[in-house]
Amino acid sequence: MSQHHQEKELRLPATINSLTTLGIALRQFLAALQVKETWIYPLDLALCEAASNIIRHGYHNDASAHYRVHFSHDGRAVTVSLFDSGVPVPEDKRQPPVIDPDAPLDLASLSEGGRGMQLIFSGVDRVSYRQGEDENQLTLIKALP
Amino acid sequence: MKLETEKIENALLVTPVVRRLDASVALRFKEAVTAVIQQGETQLVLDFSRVDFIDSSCLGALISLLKSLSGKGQLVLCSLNGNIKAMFALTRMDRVFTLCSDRSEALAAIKRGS
Repeated sequence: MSQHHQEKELRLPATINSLTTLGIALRQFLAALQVKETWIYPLDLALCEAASNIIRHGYHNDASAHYRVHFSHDGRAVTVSLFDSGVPVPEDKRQPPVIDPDAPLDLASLSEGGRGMQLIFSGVDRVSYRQGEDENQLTLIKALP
Repeated sequence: MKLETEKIENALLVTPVVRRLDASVALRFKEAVTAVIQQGETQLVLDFSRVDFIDSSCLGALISLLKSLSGKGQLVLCSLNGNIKAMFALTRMDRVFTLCSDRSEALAAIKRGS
């Protein structure tokens, strides 16, 4: 496994179609690390959910807007930061959601959405959020195996 | 959104031909399967053997499809890879959907439920 620090940054339009490009870029960045798919998938999923939130809730699918994604690793962990200038994540959504494992799973009342934050927090080791004056930054950190 | 379909007895096997079933295609996926249901197919097996990745939008689409069939038919999922199965378990959707290892098991599940 490469121990050298590596970085990569890309700028993407705030459209839902950018998610495919983002997933490909993540996997290209990780290719040199030779980590298993079982390690990659939760990070890919967390990143996809985070970017999807920026596009839909932060920018309301404004295709003229853009977000930036910065990938880095130092041989010990992979860090992915997303930068946007859209509507910030509400404060009550910045902590891991409380999931009741015994809550009833009645199909009629089952929501079609609302699982994104759970997948973000469970897919990586650390999530941090900074709301700046001009830019928001969401950072995902996942330790390498 | 390309779907391959195959009718076996009273069940329709539907295979999404896409590697990433994320939010960029989830709506088209839901619309394509909904169209199949509207054509009268109510015993459905969704075969995920060609899908490597799904996100929460796809889960939402699947919940919507299951609701649309509720009481009128069956939706069974098969051939999910280990990572997708883990996601179903994490979100407890493995307790909502019938998950089968392959087509044969899924068709048997449809037959049992008919």
